[in-house]
Amino acid sequence: MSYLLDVIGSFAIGAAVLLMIVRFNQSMINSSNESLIYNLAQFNTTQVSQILEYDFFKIGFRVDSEDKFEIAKESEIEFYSDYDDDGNVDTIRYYISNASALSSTVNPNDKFLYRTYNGGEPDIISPVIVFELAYRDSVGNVITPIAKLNSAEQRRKISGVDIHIYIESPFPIDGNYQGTEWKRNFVLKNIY
Amino acid sequence: MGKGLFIIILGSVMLLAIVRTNFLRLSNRGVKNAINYYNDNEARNIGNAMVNMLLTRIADSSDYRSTESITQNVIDGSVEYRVIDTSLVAGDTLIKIEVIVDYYGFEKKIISYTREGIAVGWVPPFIRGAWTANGPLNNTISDMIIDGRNYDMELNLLPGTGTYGISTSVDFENVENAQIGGTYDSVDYDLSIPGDGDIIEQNYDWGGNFPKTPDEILGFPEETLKTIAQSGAQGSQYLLNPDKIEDELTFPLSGVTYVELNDGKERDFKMRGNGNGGILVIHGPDASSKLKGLKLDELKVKNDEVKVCHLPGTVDEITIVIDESLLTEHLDHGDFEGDCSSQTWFQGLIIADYSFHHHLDILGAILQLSPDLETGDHCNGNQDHWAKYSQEAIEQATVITSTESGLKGNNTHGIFNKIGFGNGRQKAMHWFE
Repeated sequence: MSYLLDVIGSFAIGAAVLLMIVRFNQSMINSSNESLIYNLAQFNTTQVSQILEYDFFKIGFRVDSEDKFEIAKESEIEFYSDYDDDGNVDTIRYYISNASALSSTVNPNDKFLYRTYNGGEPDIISPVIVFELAYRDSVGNVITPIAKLNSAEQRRKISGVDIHIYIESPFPIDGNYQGTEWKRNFVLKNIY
Repeated sequence: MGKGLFIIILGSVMLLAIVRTNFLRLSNRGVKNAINYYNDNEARNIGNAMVNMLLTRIADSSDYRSTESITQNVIDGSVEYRVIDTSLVAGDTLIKIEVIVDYYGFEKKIISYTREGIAVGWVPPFIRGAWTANGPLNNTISDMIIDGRNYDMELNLLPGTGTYGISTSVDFENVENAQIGGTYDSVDYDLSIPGDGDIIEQNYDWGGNFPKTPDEILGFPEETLKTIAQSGAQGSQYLLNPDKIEDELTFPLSGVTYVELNDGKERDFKMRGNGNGGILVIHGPDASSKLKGLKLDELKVKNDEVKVCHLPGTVDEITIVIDESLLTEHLDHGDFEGDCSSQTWFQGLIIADYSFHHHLDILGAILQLSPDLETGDHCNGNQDHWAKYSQEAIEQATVITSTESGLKGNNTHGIFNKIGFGNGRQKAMHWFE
């Protein structure tokens, strides 16, 4: 009888320990996955930030005209620059798609961030959740409302651009999407 | 059972170790991303700082070049730079500043283009009002209109950007009932008698630094303005002790008109015609010159005479009065009837030692160097003449001095891009990074 009790007890304790270990392992794996996905989101964000920095610092470079911006909206921008320093003015445009364009991911809010060069075929830079732009005048005040910038005359007042990007993982871990945010204020050195 | 459990536990520990290692590796990668981003920005900051330093060196010495690469340690990075002449656009020679930064293995290249000797006009800091003096102005301004509010060259008011109506280092009392207006703390004050106290600066303490010469007003080495005047550049003229000033000058005045009076004689000066401007200097040693009257002598037209703009659009353009019978002949060779310029005022900067009886209009500013201004005599009936402050007119006058001298004087303002530690000393035309 006591032997039977020992066996049953061993089974019960063993099962409980086993369950604890399995759960603990599962938890560690989840954490590791979260970290991996977060890392990927962060990596994407740094890559996107480097591309944007490379382009935005060249806004207006060797553009003689007063018009450095063709489009200045909250989620779209088109500007002029002699991007490749060959004496010809180029145009670069950034804009985002609808969320439905990126239906292959589980994340319902992600969209494509596109970049076009001289009106060519758009390149996908990265899936993003948020791509927001704000524009500043020469004294650093944000130009509002942004609808004012539909006018070329108002766009000539732009001396700075603020960018806000938020990138999330394409699928969730434990119901949460891992995200990274990046913000940058550009003081445009080729506009004066 | 026990052995099985032991195996399971051992396996779990190993799995835990593997997961933990991966977790740490990912964490390290995340930190490394942040560090890389930081280093990249630091490299850019060092590059920006180096370009600014080189712009300041060019501003100090416009012929500064470094055609061979020079390496210098800046902050925690190593910078290799060159400063060379280049032709960016056909016919446009620019100075190219090329900087390559190495910051802990992160490389950043910045190229900036600037132009040599950009001349811009400015308002010398000694100009503190439409009328500035180091002496009593009670009698000198008579009953003129003195307006320190800022006007453009079309006489349009530019709100909130003006200066004092009057600035003097002694007491001021509006005994002649001049109408005085101005701007203080971006608030415009309309013309009034005796004038709002905020736009009348009196007892200003110059700390002994009130300029003693016209060159000092603009921050130039002595004799600069005289040299420009003597060169004749852009219509500049120089006279020394003329018997009758207006007889020996060509009108309209432009550039730098420098009348040096060192013989102790008092004189009058009657400007002629329309379109006079630039910098007018009436000066003698120790601010001793005396101008009893500074007036605009309008061309008198008799009944059978007409005014004609002769040789319009040329350097010899001048408004003259001719007999009516000669009008057709003049019209035939391109002249037109009327004044060459509708500008009836002097436009720019007047620098005089002592001057009195001001019967003219001034758009720009006037500064008097002598501390011994008129205190006894009075000048009335001048209510139809004015002195209005104009930043634009002063800048247009002073740009000539920068262009001709290649010097920047005491210019600390302007339309420069905000580049360079001197905040506007040298303009970056293009910036590529």
